[in-house]
Amino acid sequence: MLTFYGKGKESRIALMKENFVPVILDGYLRGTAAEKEFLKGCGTVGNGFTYISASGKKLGGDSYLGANGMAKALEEYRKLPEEDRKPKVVRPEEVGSSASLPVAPPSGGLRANVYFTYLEQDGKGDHRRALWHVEGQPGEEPGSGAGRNQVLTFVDKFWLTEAEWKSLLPENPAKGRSLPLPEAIQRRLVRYHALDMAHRSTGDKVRSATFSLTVEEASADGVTLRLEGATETGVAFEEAPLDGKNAEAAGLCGAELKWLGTLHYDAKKKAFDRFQVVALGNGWGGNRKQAATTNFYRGGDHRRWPMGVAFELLTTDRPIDRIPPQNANPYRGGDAYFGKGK
Amino acid sequence: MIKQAAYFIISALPALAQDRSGAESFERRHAHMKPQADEWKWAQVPWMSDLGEARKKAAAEGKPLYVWTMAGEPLGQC
Repeated sequence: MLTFYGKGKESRIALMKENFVPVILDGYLRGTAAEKEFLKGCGTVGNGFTYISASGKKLGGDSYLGANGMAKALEEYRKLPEEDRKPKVVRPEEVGSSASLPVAPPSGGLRANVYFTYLEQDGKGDHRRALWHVEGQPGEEPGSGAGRNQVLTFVDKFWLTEAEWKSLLPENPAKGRSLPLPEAIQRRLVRYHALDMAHRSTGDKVRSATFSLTVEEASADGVTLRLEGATETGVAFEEAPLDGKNAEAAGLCGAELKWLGTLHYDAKKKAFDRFQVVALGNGWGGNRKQAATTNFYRGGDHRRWPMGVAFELLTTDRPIDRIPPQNANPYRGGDAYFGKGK
Repeated sequence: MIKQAAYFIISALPALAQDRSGAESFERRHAHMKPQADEWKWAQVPWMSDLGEARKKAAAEGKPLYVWTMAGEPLGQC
């Protein structure tokens, strides 16, 4: 990630866009059997970047801390014969079920980006994005390139099946009418997003969750709904250990959030064209030094960390827009994301 | 428990009150939780996620592949 963070990275990105075909792969889901075999043969880097010819010749690799070997890889590439640079690529017919592929978006479903960031008081009675770094030292502005892990936005996806988003629409929408948020949707919001996404685990423990939908506008053109809610997940602040070993794995984090959102259904499009939700509150608990997967340091204090979550409807369909919610992946919750199984 | 609940209400309600006070405030809060202008440089990259298709494209255009793999989804939390 740091390859793309901070000043002075534009030239590296330009070099990549101009001279490479960029591919992202979930390390746990490396594709079809043939694709996995191809990658194995190339000796791909575990966490980082590998430069490969279309034929499968490895040209170099870099760790995720910085793609510094691109220029050298290009040199190596240009030395290759035509058959390595421009081979005939045929997708082999897959046999059996050994493929490990990301989950596909549900047909006709609703997709949203979910953004998470830490906040801090701005001294004017409001919040701003937090500015601290992994080392716990006073940080420079995000994007400066200083520090190992600058404050950044964590991103996830939120998916609803067609039946689920349709369940948001009241049969007889009348302005002012209040209705409960469908249980499946509430469960998904609470279980996967009412938490500190960087430290992640609340052990799926829900202490309380209340949501409501209110019809703000209803006409032949569509329906506008206001979403409100409050959630308490994980352990209470007093029960979260300071620097508890494996606190995250043990689900000893906690969060409390207030929710507010606007959803708009366009009757002509027969689809929601706005799904805009904000959750504001605090998180706590977790390891003193760093979160297991994010290297995200929160200092040594046991205190409440202001944080925010924002949902935004996805209206594009690029490959990166089809990335599944992390908990819908088979190595996480899999079908449980959609309420099946555990 | 009462102390904890009181803290939560006191700390969270002002922010929500501001949210309820107008669409502008809500939009502003929503916007500043999203990635900032200088943050998501990786999103400028036209990533492909289908290795087979990417190999075909690389062969057709005479370019090498730039393969980013992580333990998990690279463009999310990792």
